[in-house]
Amino acid sequence: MAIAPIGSASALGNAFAVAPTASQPPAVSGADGSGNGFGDMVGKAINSLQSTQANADNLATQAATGQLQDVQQYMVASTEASLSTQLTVAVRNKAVDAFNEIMRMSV
Amino acid sequence: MIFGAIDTASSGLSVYRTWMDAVSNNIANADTNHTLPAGATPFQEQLVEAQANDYSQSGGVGTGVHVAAIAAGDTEIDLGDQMSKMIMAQRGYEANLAVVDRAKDAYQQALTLGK
Repeated sequence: MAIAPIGSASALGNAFAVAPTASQPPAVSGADGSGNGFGDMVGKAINSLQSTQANADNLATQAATGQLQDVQQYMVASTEASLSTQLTVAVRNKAVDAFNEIMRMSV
Repeated sequence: MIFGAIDTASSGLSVYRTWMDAVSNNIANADTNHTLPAGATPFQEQLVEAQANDYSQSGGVGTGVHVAAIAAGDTEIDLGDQMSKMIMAQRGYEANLAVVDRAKDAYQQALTLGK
């Protein structure tokens, strides 16, 4: 376990100190579709899920046609695809929960 | 890398499977040299050389193992030796499978966090 040198730790501290004092408030984008907000993050996660599942599909085809080199290649890919899907669904559920919580808020 | 443990164990599975393949070939050719046609090159025991993946640059935990080379060994195949290697390869394979299993369980447990 590497311990970060003090130089880099203070740099990190500066980054945190500077960010909130920037001219704009911390961006909670997504409504206008720009920036790296939650929507962007979910988009990236779904893209990565897509490629993981495509990989698993590809290996499943190889297994069916007898071209698969290693049995564990497919098993590992399908396990990763399954875990990625579960992760994405968990994130989606949390987001929907948060949304519902806000909608229930009485003003 | 989210699936570091699974990918690392997968590289181990690959190496142990190669080892099992090599042992299987050695056992299949255990008597080849006793029934060799005149002038033919004798069969040499195949040895799998495993090497850790380069982890000096990553600065973090390594990423597993790979087969560096298949070396040629003795022309005399000792069945007892091959069988013990077979058991070692099988146990190693099982150990890596156990890692995949545990890592998957751990990830799934992490997904239930906060539920």
